[in-house]
Amino acid sequence: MSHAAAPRQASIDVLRTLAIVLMVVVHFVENLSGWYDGGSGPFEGVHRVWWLPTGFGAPIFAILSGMSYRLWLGVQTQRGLSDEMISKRTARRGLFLIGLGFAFNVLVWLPEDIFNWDILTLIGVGLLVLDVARRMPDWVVGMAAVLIIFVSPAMRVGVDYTAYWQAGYFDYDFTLTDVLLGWLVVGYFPIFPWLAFPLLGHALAAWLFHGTRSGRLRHIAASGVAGIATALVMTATWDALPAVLTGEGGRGWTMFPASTAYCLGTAGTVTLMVAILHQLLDGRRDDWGWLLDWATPLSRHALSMYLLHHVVHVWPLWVWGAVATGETTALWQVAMPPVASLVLAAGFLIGAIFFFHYVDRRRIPSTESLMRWLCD
Amino acid sequence: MIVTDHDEPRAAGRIPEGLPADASLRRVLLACNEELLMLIVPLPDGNDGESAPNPVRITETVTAWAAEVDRQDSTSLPVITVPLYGCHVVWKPGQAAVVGPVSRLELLTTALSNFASCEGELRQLEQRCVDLVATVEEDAPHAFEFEGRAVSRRGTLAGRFREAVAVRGRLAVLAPAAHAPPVHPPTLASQLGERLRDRTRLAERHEFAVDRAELAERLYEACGQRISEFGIAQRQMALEWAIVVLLVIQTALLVVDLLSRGVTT
Repeated sequence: MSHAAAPRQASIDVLRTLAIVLMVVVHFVENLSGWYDGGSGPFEGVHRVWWLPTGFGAPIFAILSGMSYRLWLGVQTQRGLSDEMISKRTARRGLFLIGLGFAFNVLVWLPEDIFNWDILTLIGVGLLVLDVARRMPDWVVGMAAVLIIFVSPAMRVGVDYTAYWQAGYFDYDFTLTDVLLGWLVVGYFPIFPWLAFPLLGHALAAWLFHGTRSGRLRHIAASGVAGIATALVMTATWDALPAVLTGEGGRGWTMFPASTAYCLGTAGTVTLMVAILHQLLDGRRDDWGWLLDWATPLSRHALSMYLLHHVVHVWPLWVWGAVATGETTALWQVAMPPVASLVLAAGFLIGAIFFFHYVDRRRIPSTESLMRWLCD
Repeated sequence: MIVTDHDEPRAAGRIPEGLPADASLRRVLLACNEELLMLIVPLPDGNDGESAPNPVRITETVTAWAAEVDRQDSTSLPVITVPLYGCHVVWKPGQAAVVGPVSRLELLTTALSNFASCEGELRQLEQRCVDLVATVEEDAPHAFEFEGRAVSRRGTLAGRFREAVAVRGRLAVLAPAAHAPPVHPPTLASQLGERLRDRTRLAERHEFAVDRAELAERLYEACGQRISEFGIAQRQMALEWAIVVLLVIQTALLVVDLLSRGVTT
């Protein structure tokens, strides 16, 4: 049986690299220097506007997980894999990511944060859901995503979202109710509305890579613009909107909770970027070799990057805090000025490019290869 | 129906040596959009003794001409020679020669053109049938079950169904000419037509072509039904999935509501 690798889509590689850069910057700066939306950080007031793009990292990752899954599905089908085997592999990968997410929470954020519902658990659950969604017509998947976005505010109102968020972070009790509600509505990346992103990515990839209609790129770009426009209108008219659309816990464009405007705006922007990058990059790897030379290693090892960058900056923070003050989390968000953490983030990113080039060249096992070894 | 174009002999279709001076070439555009290069050799009506041309030699010459010219274009059909009441008609696809008294030439050329038109169209239809039958084995699975991965072939299958129906239709139109019963009383033209039809097995070829077209039509009709059923099933399934999605979201709302009430109490 032939096992030819799927051709990499340059647009996805570049977009995922952008998400990695945003993720590293936002985590380094916020964990080492302050929380921009917590009322006391360095990115309040006038600084908040230029910090907003960092909120695109997670939606890009989540949408790309859906797109990558769709492309992966195409490769598995071409290889003649049975439907049952595809489901098994998908479920194994989903459960692997969920397990890895819990392990990551315990090891990086310490055991009390095991159920904070980070993005790894979201993408893991997303894969399990996508295994069902792949059997649905694409428009139903898109409809499900839109429904999820629009029912989420009502859910937040129902569960009193703000009661679970103290000083800008998710604070829950170890009860079944809180754990389940965290997973569904009030965690960092709860199913409602974050599951909409992998679903949208799945439908988007079907539209982009498997469609045959001419002019589909224009339609995709128009959809993105429509999402952005709706988000802008919602943000501008936020106070006039009913609570069932705005929910509870934030005003206008907020990532925690992911407001309807935020979801539509980020999804629209990513859709537009996908259309533009697809037009510019896909099928033209030779023209953009210099860009892809450094983007591809990061993109290929996005999961490892997610784990590594946390370990690199959070563990020293805990050790430093424990040694200096006796309290592990004493230096969280107050360890250094934002400029210093930005420099550290940049240094880490440059080092990571060389590191993952080396990993690829020497074929050193990574988290991605471990996942494939265990799940495929 | 037939457009004639005199005095434009092709380079490869020059009048051969040894024929009477009044022999001529005529290009006839047939109804099936094929050209027929017709060599017409008139013979004197009466016997002029030794000065009269030798009909046997003329027949040999025109038969050799038909066999020689455009050999690379010749089909599997051989050169057919029909002697008929002092006339000789030589025919192969695309080329023909008529040797006979001047008074009979017009009748013979008309009958020959009509036959050539019918045969040419049948030959074209046979080729279309061959093309259709060649795809039967590849497309047969879709007549039993149509899968989602074959959706991209829907247009191709629809096109082949249209082609099969079109071929069937043309064959039906052609049937009276291919199976024309003998005319009574027989005429020179009708006898020429009958003999040419007989020599070229026109009736049998028509039946075989009908069989092939029927096979293709049945197959692609079944494919069309499967595609239609698949489309209906897809639409129904989409509706069912939409209902499932709505129910799941409603259930999630209910669960969240129940959990939040548990928190309140």
